Amino acid sequence: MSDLVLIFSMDDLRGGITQKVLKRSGFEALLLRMILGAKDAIAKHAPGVVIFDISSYFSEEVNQILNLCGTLEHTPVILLGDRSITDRFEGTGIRLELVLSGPLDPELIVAKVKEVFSLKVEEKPSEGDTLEEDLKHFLKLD
Amino acid sequence: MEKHKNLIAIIGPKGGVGKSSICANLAIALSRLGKKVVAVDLDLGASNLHAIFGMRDSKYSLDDFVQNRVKKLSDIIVDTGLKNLGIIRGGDVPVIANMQYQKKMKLVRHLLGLDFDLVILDLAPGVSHNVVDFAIIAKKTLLVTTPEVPSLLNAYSFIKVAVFRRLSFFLKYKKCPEILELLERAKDFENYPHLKTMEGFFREAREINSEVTDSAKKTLSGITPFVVVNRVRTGKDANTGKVIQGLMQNYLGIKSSELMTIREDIAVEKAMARMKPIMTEAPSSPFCRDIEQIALRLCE
Ligand SMILES: Nc1ncnc2c1ncn2[C@@H]1O[C@H](COP(=O)(O)OP(=O)(O)OP(=O)(O)O)[C@@H](O)[C@H]1O
Ligand SMILES: [Mg+2]
Repeated sequence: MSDLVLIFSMDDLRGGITQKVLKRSGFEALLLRMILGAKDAIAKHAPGVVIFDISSYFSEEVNQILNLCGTLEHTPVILLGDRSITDRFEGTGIRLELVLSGPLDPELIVAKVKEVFSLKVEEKPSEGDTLEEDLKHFLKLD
Repeated sequence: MEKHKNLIAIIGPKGGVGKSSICANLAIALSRLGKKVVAVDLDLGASNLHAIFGMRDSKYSLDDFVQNRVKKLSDIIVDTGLKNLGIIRGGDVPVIANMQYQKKMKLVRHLLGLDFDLVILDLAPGVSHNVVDFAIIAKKTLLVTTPEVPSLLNAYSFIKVAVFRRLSFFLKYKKCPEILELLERAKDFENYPHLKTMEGFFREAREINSEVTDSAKKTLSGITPFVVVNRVRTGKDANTGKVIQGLMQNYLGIKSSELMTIREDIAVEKAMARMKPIMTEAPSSPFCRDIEQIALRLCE
């Protein structure tokens, strides 16, 4: 799993804003349009999060997204779209990190993406140093 | 003490760090991966595993086995209503902390004889020898902690007790009183600072008997706990596991290769209140996703 966010949107404006805000927050973000080939793109990029802006797709494409999500067991998925469409994902057992309906709220998306990524253990303990000192002290190892 | 291939021990020396919640839901996750699983509540006297599964009463509990009312442990396995998954309820008599040796061995024998792919043990908090022994014989031990200092300290101390107990068994078996004595001194390392690390202990022990020391060192390589940091909110929280792993490696010579994290998740309490396992109530919650990652890792 990489630190990349893959955004699928047919709406250049919505998709573009989401991508821009994510990039501004320091994430790598790639915007794709076609659902056809999405599976391969996800396999190729192994993104840390996938965002589907389902309000920008036709019904048939939403079905494809539904099927695709069923195969993404280990990739957190964020759905953007009206309740009437996102409801179709309920009860399917598909796991969604976040469902956002109503007007696009890039800040909320960023907050969620941050949350997903922040939980990955950092390579080098940074603030861990003081913790290590504390533990050693209590264990009388210093 | 050999390792037993289907035993998974869930330990967490600090009370309330999430052992039982993890045990129950991990058991479900593993059963969904096609394993035949039985979860066993060994926190006798304070058992609550069945409650996490939403069971109020059941015909049998471990009391029936321990007090010889049933012959076989397999007779008291209760159906959870979930495919591939049974549980053994804990009893109300707090016997495990000071169970007689004979009784304990009988329980171990029956646990090992259960016809399941995986037997997952929910153990009591604390560092009683019985809990430590299960951690030593299990094929995989999940050392559960939260990011909080007291819990981290307890986790370290638990592994330390396991290391000393393992070594002392081995040295008794090898009839090596001199090294045993050295081991006693190592416990009191404040007065013997050169024995502060296991490396220092082994260095001095080698001078007494290098052959025994080398094989003693090898027995420790069997202690490889998976560190599980539960109730993680931030990357910093997740990192606490690395710090513990570092201390275990540097001072106890214990290599824990796995570090896994489980997120803090309000859905855990909610499911508890509804008396339903979160794995069936909210399978897409962060807690369940993290548990599934652990299940996958355990199946590798
Ligand atoms: N990841 C989590 N997020 C939120 N709450 C949690 C999480 N894990 C556990 N809890 C809560 O912590 C409490 C203690 O959990 P649990 O009973 O599983 O701990 P335990 O280690 O088995 O305790 P004991 O040592 O008493 O046996 C429960 O109320 C549970 O709902
Ligand atoms: Mg418990």
